[in-house]
Amino acid sequence: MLRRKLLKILGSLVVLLAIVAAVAIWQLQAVLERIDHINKQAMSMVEDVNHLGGQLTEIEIELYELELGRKRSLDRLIGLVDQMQTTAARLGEHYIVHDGKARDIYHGMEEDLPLFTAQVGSLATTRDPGLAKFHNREALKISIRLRRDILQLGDIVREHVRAEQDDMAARFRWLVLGLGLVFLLVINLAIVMMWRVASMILRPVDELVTASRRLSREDFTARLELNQRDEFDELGQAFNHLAEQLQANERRRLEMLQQVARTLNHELNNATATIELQLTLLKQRSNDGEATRKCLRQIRDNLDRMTRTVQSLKNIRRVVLTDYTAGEKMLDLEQSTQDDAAGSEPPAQPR
Amino acid sequence: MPAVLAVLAIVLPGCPEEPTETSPPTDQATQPVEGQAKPFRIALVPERDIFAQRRRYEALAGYLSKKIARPVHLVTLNTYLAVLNDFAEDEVDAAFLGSLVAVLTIDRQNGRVLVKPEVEGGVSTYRGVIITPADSPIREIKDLAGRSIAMVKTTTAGDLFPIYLMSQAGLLDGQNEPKVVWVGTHDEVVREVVAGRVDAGALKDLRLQAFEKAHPEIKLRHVAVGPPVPNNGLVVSPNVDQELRAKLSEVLLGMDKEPAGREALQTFGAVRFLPCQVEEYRSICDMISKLGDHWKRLAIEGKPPRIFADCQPVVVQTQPDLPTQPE
Repeated sequence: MLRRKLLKILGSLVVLLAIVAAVAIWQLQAVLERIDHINKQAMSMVEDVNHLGGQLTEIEIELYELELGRKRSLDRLIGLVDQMQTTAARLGEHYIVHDGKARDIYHGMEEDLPLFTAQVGSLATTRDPGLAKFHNREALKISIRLRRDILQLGDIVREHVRAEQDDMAARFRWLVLGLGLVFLLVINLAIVMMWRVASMILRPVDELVTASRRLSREDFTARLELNQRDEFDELGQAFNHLAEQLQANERRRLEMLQQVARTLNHELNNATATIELQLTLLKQRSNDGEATRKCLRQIRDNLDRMTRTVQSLKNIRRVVLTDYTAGEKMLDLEQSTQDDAAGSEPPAQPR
Repeated sequence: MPAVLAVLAIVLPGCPEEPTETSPPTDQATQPVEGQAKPFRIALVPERDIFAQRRRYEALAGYLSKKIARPVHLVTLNTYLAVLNDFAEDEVDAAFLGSLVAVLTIDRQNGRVLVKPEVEGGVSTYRGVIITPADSPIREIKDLAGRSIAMVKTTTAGDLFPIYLMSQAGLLDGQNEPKVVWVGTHDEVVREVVAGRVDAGALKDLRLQAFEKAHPEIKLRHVAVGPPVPNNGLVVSPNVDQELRAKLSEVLLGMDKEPAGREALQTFGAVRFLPCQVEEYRSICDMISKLGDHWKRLAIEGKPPRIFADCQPVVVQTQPDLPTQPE
């Protein structure tokens, strides 16, 4: 039962801690996911937008080099255009470009990119100056539109990332506050529970110790009233039973002593009466002087003492022993006839 | 233990992944590796959309690379004459060349033509075509006087053939000489004609057919059609040894006989490769031989090529429809 109670209390505490830990982990995980999302998706989109601008510049440089005749090979240009298309396609996979203004901008880019590619291809291969000028102008027009779109998209993405970061920071702040409060609550609850557990164990132990001390001082009236409905109750009952047993034993011992005293009293009374009578006759018959009267007086005093001793034996209330000789004890009549009101008085010092 | 698991549950999912590196633009089909065989460089000339063209040839380069156990690098050049220069400077080992530049390469650089591609319908040759919008007043070559015509430099269909026709029609010596607008590719010729920026255009029939198939709503008039010449064949530098030449021929001619080869051919846009002989370029030499001084109109430096001792008359068709069956 005590085990069950402890299990219930400690188990509840453990479950509560586990739940709080699980919720904390779950919430922190959500925050980490947001951070991961911002790092991977949002920031990668910012990078893609920047790359797109860079690739556009590199394409323009390549076209310029080809125009000046510094290059004959189109491979780098082809590679750059491919990269630009790949970057644009990757950009289109981000969720940001599918919302609101970004969607319109991206659609514009999607329409312009094939046109730009066609103009770049024509510009790279045409040898007619007039046509080259035409394609160059067209490519430039589209390039300007693309740059403007890229800039706008970049602004939207950066704004979105900033908003996400702010939102995440706010959520994290609230999360930390919430977790702090929850943990404070849990700690307080844990303290209360521990206090209760301690009370459940320490209080009965204290009472047991106190009662045991009383018992050790031969205060056989010590009893325990625990009312915990657990093993301590059983312990208390066992203690009470023991105390009762000891008290009963003590009572029986006293009764026996009283019986012995009554027996002595009865037997000695007859002898004492006879001795009293003879002393009286002796006193009447004695003509000696003072010496004889003194002897007779001593005999009477000791006889009175014997009578008092027997009377005392009859009035024994408890057994208090005192040292008689080495290794032997005798009854301390004075202490034994007194009532033990406090129950905590130390036994009488040896004579 | 539960505490350790709890800590791991927080930390592990938040661990950043390895950053992915974006690869720099690559100019080659395969990257050279130290210790590997010297790369085989194949030049491409800008015929169509240079980006799509590059992707087509990359499939072929990848296949070749595995078969000849050497990395194959593609080099896309901005002009046909750049190919001649690269051949001369040993910057390339081979090139897929139009018929005119192939003839120039054979004549000037001692190039060896190996194979030519065959496309759907058993077509391994092409013809030059002069086109105008369907409602154009130009109905024959002499109507080009004082008009503009889009042409592609250093190509048979886009340069030699129209110059030859205009030379034969006497248009190049008078005041009403047609204004030539040079464009980069055959696809651009038809775009310029359709856009109305030029009055006529000279291009390959294969590219014209592809355009007409894709845009059936656009009607064009075929004013003249030239003789057939080989499709863009593979011309190899004389510096390539006989063994490698033989290997290349064997691999390319046998491509259509295995799945990987057929897949590469499909991406490339051909059905198979066929052997190509110098004799197949005779009609080009025939046209050149008739140009005389008008050879300079092609803006090709140097003397006209002469790889055949005798020349034949050139057959030019003036029907509006292109032949659908190979000759």
